[in-house]
Amino acid sequence: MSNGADLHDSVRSFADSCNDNKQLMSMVAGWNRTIHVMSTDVVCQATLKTNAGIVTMAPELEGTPDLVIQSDTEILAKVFYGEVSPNEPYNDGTLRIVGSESDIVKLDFITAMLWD
Amino acid sequence: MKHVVSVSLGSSRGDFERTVRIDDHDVNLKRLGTDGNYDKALEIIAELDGHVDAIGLGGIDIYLEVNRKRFVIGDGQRLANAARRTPVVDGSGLKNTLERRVVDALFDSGRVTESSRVLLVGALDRFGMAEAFVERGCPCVFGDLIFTIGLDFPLTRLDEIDALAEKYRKRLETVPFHLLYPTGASQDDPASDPIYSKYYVSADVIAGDAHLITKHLPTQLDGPGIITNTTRPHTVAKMRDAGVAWLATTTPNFDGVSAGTNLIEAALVSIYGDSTGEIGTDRLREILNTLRWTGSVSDL
Repeated sequence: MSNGADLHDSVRSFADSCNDNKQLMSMVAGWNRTIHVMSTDVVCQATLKTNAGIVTMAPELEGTPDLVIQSDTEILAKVFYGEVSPNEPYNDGTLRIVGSESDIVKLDFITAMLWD
Repeated sequence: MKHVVSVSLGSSRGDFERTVRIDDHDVNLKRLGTDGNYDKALEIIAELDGHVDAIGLGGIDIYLEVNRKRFVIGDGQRLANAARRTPVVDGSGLKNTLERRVVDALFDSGRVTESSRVLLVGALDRFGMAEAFVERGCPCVFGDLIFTIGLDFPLTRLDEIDALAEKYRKRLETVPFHLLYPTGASQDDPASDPIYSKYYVSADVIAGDAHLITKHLPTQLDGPGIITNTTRPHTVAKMRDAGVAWLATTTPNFDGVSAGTNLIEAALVSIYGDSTGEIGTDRLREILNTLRWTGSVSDL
């Protein structure tokens, strides 16, 4: 059972993993986006921003999102820690991503490069 | 008469039917586009199963063959499994054999030289062609991240393609294929963008998937050549208008139509395949030697 702190930790860990991977960050350097992460079972949100190849995390909603990722806290934490591929909960409908397909592909690419 | 059908996730605008002669065999070739409708493709394949000699899968691959390793594409595999009796192929065998021959022939004719700058829009599904260019010493840009993921990051080495395939292996099994490749009407949507244009204008030779090439084709180019297949009169006209100097189609040209490798591989399977429909790479090379297929080139 995960809680809001777990979610924030997992999103922060994701941002750190991205920033530690210099090759990946050079690949996505031109992809500047705001991503909102929203839990569906507890009141907890976070924002990820990609800007010039740097990923930052805020423990609340900031700015207008290009992508919104929604699921329960446990699934979100597992996805952002890299314990499960986002494709599995996305395909079975337990993870919802709202945004353009082009942005979804890039986010999926980032997670694949980090953990697969 | 052999009957083979390509069931494609692509636009039905590219549908055609031709009866052709290959090595003393009459083969009826038919292409059926489902406009991106995956379920309809599953249905058609199940209906054709046992009623035609071979089926090709268009707009999607069953496998990517990279550096002698096979990577399964889940959505493609599920389509292939819809047929239990009729062999289903995706053209990867021909990509790995015929397309190398075409590159060799273009070098022999002098159309392509070791100084030709090559843009291969996707090397993951055309590793054979990528190897052929690299072996000849051409400076290459592999556009997999640019044209498939939309990231402005050119790859230039085969080991980068190999590493990308390894990294993406698990995702290929589960990612909805339409996220990675234009299907249905989106194949016809032009999407010219400066991200893509700079790679086109820096290339002497543009090679690879016709839908990816034409989707992002700038309107003004300085006489490059294009190596592809799956061309139709309207796509050739678009290339000509953009300033493309010559076009090499890897598959044979039948009355203005160059079919996809999947349909031509299905035709070869219908003639030469064993009971399982398999043709090994060595046998395919022998067949191509016999048929003397090395692509066709035309000045635009």
